[in-house]
Amino acid sequence: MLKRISFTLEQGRIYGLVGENGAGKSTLVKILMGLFPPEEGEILIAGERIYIRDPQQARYEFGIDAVFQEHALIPQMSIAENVFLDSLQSFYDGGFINNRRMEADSREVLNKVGLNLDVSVHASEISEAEKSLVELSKALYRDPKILILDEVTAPLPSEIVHQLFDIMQTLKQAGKTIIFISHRLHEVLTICDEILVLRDGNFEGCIDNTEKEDLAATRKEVVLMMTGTEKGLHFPPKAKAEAREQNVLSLMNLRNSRLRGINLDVYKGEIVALAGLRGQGQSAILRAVAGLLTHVEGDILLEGKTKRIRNPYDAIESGIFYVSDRRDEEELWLTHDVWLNISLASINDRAPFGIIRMKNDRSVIEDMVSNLRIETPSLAKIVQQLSGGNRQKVVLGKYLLARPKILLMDQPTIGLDVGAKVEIYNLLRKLVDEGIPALVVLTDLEEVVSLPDRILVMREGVIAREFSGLEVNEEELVDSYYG
Amino acid sequence: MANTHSGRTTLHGTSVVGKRLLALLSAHYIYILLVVFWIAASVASPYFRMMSTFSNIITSAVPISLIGFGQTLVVLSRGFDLSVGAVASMATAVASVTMVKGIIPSIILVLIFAVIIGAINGFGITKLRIDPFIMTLCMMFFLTGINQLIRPSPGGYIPDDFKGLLLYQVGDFPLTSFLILVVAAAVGFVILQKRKFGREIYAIGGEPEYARMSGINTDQTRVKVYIVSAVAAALGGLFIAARIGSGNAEAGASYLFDSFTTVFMGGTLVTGGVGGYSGTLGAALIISSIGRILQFLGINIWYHFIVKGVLLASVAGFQLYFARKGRRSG
Repeated sequence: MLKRISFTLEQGRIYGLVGENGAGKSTLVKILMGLFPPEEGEILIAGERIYIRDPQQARYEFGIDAVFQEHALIPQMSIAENVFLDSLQSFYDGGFINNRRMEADSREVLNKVGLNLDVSVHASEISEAEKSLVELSKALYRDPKILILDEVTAPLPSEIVHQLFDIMQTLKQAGKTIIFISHRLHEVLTICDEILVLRDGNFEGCIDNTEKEDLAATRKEVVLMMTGTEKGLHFPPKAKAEAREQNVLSLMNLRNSRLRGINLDVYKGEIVALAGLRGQGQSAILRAVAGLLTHVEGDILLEGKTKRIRNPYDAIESGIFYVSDRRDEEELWLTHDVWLNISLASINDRAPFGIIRMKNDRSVIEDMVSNLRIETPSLAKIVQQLSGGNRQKVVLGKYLLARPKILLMDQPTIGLDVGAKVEIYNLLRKLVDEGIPALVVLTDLEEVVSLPDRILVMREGVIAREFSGLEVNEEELVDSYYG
Repeated sequence: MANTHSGRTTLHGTSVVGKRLLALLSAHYIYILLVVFWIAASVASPYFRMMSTFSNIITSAVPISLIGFGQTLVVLSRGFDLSVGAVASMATAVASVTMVKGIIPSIILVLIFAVIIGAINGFGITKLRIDPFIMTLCMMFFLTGINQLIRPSPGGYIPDDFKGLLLYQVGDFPLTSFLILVVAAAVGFVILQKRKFGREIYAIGGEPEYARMSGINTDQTRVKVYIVSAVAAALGGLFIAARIGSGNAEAGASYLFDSFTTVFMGGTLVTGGVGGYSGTLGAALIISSIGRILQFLGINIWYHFIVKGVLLASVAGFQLYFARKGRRSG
């Protein structure tokens, strides 16, 4: 995950840690908390080399504490127990945990951040914002020297964020060091004295923000450092003009717990990308249309006709094919051969009266393998032994045999090397040109800019902006990711 | 920083009463089931109303509930212990060979063996990262062989003092057995609800990674869980030895399945983190009642497997229903 990261932090300063999805921020936090050991390198506190064995040691011996992005609360246990989970023995009265004392003490801990909760309820019953504050109060209670806040503001409303900033300022005055991680750049710029930038597991540099003047210029600098420029990827040419003739898929006011009213159209001959920060609902759209989510409201129209899609079978029957980003787990029978993997989704077409006509099946699969240029010595090759790019082609082959009307792909090039990525781009473009449009979730900025004909940027469950693929202003695009 | 919890108002008001009632019902349904069972059986067969029947049910529930005790802790921590039956057999075999030399030293020896077995299970699972299912399966095979070496054919010597103490009755009332059940229930409650160890088991079973992030030494706690499981199974085995009055290398085998049946029937979830010992205990009483009832109704004893299967499936189905309902109203 992390390649080479070195930096020095001073006492009494607030540091921002920023980077795109997968840049290595959370990994770094987990290393600092002793959750996994670094393969190489060293960590020093006040000039002395330390080895962090586990979170217990990080907290009580080295004074490092973190509020984790995932809110590490045990859902089936009470808030009070979660607050004191690592020190329950301090509530023993005659050998038994004194719940009343524990609850009273935990109430006091929560009050420090102004949180007033029934501490006897299970952690699963409180909101994400409350969870975030419970974690924060836990960390503050232990009075750490170095406090790491990983996306603690993400679920918080802005007025509470400002109160959090006040707390951070107080801690700073008391000589504490704070590492503040947030996807909201304006927060980072407002509160942090210095901004550390990670990209692809590398430390890119540190930007001084002590004066907090000219935030717009600093922001520009940070974004440039975060995204950088990569080389080596060649993308197929995009469609010459916007295709707006034959509507294939339309979503009208699609809603569920993640999606807050999605309207979109996909036309024949185009690749449409869903972009934005990770987890804004991009995958949820694909999975909803593919019938993988329950409790979805709104209309799904295919070629102008309303379709009821309650499960994956309905989707496939209608010609909607979804390709998961978890290729090895959800798309392939890894320990079986190429033949079976490509054949199974459409086997009924080649099995009159339920009996598979092997010769016919074989020739159809062989055609598909040569069409997609899947590099395999024979159809009997076990899929696990193929490269990532060829595996993805096997997945595509499987669905193409079933004659899709539209392809929904979640990060189609995830985990592939540069050469394989380019092949998948070309293949996608070829399919689109042949009449099968694609709605894809993309996270890599370069792909977002260079592959699709249209870009829909999502933020918190809605489509926040649309860009034409013909001319994309990269900075404007990235800017639109952040609120 | 107040008022961040806008989505919680549904928790208050009428739905709370319904939720509480549901919680109460789903926590104690096993005892409601048990009472219904006993009433139905008493109506169906006059023999069932006799004290000796009650005595028999209590006595045969003891080994089931002791072995189920350890299994409850293991399942709560998201584990499996397939070696409990073999450990119980080991206890009968070792006791039948060594009790000649003295009762107390023999018991201590059995318990030392159990601690070692549990520690090896725990070590394999936490340090070598072997799946609990596989690790304890191997332990089961290993012990089954060892048991045959210690006691190739049923027999050996179990002193009358030992049997007399464990099977002590006042009239028809099985005093020792009853006390064992009461003590097990109390210990189960204290460990799981009132001690750090038990709360950590729930945390680990609920979210293992979060438990680690929160600063719990998850490996240490899990090793302890497997040691407790083996010790509880060995205690169950010693009681079996007293009942059958001898050692038998296969005496504990059937208790493996009963341990899982009681744990799951008692409402502990196979996914860990939810459940407790009171349910297991109630289920142990139900299981030992089934055999008696069928016997008095003159039904072939083999039917009790069918009854157990149907009962467990229905209880599991109801649990799922309650769980879904609970989630929706929450």
